[in-house]
Amino acid sequence: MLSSGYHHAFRANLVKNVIELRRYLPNTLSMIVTFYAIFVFLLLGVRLIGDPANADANVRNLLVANGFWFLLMLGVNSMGWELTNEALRGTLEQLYLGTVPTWLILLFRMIATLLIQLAILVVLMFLSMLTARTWLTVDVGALAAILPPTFLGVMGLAYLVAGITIVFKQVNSVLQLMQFVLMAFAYVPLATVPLLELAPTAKGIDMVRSVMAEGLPLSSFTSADWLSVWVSGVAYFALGLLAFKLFERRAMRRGLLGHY
Amino acid sequence: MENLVYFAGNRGRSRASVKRRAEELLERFGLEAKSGEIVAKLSRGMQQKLAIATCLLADTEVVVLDEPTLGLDVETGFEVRALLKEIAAEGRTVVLSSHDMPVVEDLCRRVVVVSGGKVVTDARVADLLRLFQSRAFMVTLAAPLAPDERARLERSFTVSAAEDATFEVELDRSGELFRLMDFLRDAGVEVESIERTTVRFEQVFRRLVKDGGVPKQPPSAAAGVLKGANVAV
Repeated sequence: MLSSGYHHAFRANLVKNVIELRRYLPNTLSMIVTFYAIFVFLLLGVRLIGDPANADANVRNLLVANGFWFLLMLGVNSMGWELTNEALRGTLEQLYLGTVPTWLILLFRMIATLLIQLAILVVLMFLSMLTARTWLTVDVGALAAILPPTFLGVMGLAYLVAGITIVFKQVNSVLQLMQFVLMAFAYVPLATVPLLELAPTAKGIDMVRSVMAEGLPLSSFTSADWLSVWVSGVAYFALGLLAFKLFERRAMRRGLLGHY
Repeated sequence: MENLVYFAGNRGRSRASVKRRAEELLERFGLEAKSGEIVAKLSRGMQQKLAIATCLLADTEVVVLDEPTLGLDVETGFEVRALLKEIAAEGRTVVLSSHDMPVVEDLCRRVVVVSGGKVVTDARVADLLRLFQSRAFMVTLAAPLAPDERARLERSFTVSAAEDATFEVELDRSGELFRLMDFLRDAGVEVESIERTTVRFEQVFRRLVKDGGVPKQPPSAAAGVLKGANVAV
């Protein structure tokens, strides 16, 4: 059971994220416009040069993939950016001086980020569907069951990026590279590349795609599907956290927690 | 205020439980007028004060500070020193790392000097100052000594710094002072003033780092230094 103080830590980080979202409104708006612009360009691509026979299905897949890509990018890179900013501001050590472990503070920030971005994504998805005049199936129950294990994988990747950041600090190139890796996880269906099932988050996204784009009910998933999505989520979360702790120990030994 | 509440949250404290204390700290540190300001827009001194206030909000017995006066202007540096003295007077232990030796001399009771990753000394500041207290005197004459007299002075005494009518001389024993007076009387010069040179911690630090430890003294003197070493500011 979580210590009673941990919910205060979660609240503090949620409030911090909301304040920053409001304070840096131009950044938030630019992020939303970028997402929408990318979607519109991809939509035009599908409509103009895609196979007209599969246009509707392709647009549905695009809607889901683009939404998840947005969420993955922000989620996976958020910890890295947060740590880079902390290091630049010289407050990284402060995170280590509290009673709540740093990995947990980062997890709270991550959850806060995902919740806020999910809320923004709902609006953006609606706008995207309106633009495409194609409607996805929104099965809230099914999504509530699939998203938790999927987000575990996202968190694992985020810890890995955060660990690399804490040691090497200048990780902009890693973050840029990461967005293309995440694009593959979000856009490529498992039916096309079955091996992707081993990649983090890919199975969960594929299940969401089945629900939202193909309209499959929750009951259509087998035990093997659930086992795969949960094992993948838990395993990548654990591996990511382990990698972060190893990088963190290395950073501490080398005295790298100070600012630039 | 947002910052104080945020870092308190990371220590598992609610906003309601720290709000009053945070307001007190902002007032004490002269930051109440800036409570709604973004930290990046505060001056370096204000940011430093806020960082210290953030530490104090945790109400811990030990406060650890890294270079608390680094980059501050003289006035703010003195303000921060005064605040740190107040914190120590409240009964908290303040452990600080600093390259600013006047700050260390002013604030610290106990000091650990680290050079090249090794502890060079661990002692009370007062004891180190006493140990390094030279028997140097700054002598100011009414007129400069004649060149041959100056040469004779330098042969007879350890003159460390000399300039026109002023020179610093190190005297090993108290009797040496009488010998110096006799010398100057024989030279026929009038002495305007003679003052004992006060050793600063900066000089102690330089000698510790340069020489690699406390000076060679009779064992009882060295033991006396270390006996008293047990408390930081």
